[in-house]
Amino acid sequence: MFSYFANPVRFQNLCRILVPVLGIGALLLIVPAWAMGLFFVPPDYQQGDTFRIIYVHVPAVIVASLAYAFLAGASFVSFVWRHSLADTAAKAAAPVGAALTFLGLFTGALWGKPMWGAYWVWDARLTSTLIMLFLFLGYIAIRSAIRDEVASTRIAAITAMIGAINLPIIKFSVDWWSSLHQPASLLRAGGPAIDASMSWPLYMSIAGYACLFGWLVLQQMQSELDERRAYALVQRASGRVASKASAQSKGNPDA
Amino acid sequence: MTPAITGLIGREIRKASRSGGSWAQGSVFFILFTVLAAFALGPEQEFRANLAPALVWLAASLASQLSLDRLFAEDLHDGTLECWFVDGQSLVEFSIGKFISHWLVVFTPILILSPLAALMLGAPVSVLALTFISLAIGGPALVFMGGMVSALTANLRGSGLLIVLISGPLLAAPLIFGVGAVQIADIASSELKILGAISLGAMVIAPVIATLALKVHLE
Amino acid sequence: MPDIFDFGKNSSFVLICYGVSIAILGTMILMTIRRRIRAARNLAKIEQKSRDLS
Repeated sequence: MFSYFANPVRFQNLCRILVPVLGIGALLLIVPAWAMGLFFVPPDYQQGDTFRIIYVHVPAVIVASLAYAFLAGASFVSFVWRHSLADTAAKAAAPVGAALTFLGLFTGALWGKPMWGAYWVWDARLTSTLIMLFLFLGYIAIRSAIRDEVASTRIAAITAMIGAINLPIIKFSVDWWSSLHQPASLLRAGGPAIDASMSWPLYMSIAGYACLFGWLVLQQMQSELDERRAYALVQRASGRVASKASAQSKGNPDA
Repeated sequence: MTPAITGLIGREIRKASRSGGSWAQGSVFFILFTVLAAFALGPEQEFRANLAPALVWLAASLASQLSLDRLFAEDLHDGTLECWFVDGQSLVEFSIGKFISHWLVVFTPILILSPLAALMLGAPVSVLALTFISLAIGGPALVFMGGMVSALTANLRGSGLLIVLISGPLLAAPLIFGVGAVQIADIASSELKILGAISLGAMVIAPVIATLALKVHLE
Repeated sequence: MPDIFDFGKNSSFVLICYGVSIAILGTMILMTIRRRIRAARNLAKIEQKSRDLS
């Protein structure tokens, strides 16, 4: 399947269908979900209106984790099979993932203040999300630091895979650490089942964010491919001009 | 330990001894960090005493990441690495030799100074031994993980900050269990065992990943 | 502040969360579209030129 879509023409045909579908899907899912979440869903009996943050917080965190999994998977494919489209996908996914992770942390902090009385707690979920933000930033940093195209691609792929190994280790460590130092977890495990009228907008919002992520990644990939193709055309043209010029200078002994 | 590795380590130690003391930068940073930490924490002895093991661990894990930017970069630039590779010798052995020599040259002085640093911060004598033991067990994790990242950036000049940016998240696990082991104050604690497991894991994985990265740079 | 934007005592938290989400997602979407249009237009121009040259 990977090699099937390695062909840029096939990829472009795929984009022609997927991009509008994902774009319209994101719009039709996120906007109603937010509107329902803000104005139509009844307030939570414990948290009041504050729980409405859930419709921007949970989707951001879930899709950010998906984005890291996607980044690591694409990096693996790009490293092992030298699949250039997978690398383009990884490159496009990293900034989107970083932005979603930041959004998740930001909204989580603002939700945490009224709920737990603190903007930030060092529990496993928060800490590993924060580390994930640093993994995204490290990936972007190392990618832009290495000038050589091939080396930067492959080194960045290795960096993403190291991060994928590291994340579960950190999760485990912080779980261990916080179980030692904190009397009880502040997050309710499971919690009371929420009403269907509250959960539907949440599912819609998650699906919408996922569509938006796909849309952003595909659009960035297409831009990247266009830019590369334009660059290659310019290179070829300037090569032709140069060879013509050198042929002329050889033909003319005075020059 | 193959002869290739021991030869490499010998060469590195000779090189360090002739370098005019640049190997000591890590340990000077280590002591400087604890001095500044003492000033930052203020004159209250008891307050500092509780934090001493954590600060010593923090100082050691940061100091071990310094001077990593030169670990592979020099050998990549002057062709040593290429000779080694063309010679048909294993790059895994090369990275293991490099990591061990970094551990010997940079980390061992820090390890020896660590009880002193803890004492300066006002730690009770009873935790000195455990601070030393936990650092001895966790040291390979710090050095091998950092060394692995330095192989990633081997073709860059002045990549010190980038290395810390990428190895930072990797240091979280050893730091958690290292400081935890000192606080539990039990030589047979599971923290210490997990710390050992992390070190062993790093010793297995880091040379393999470093080899992958070095091959990319040699292509 | 109109009544429908009143979300109890933590109203400002809710509004900031939605506001920042809209701002960041919106910026990303706008930047992506701008890059997309620019890249496609640039490529079309260069393709046209290279066809003229050959």
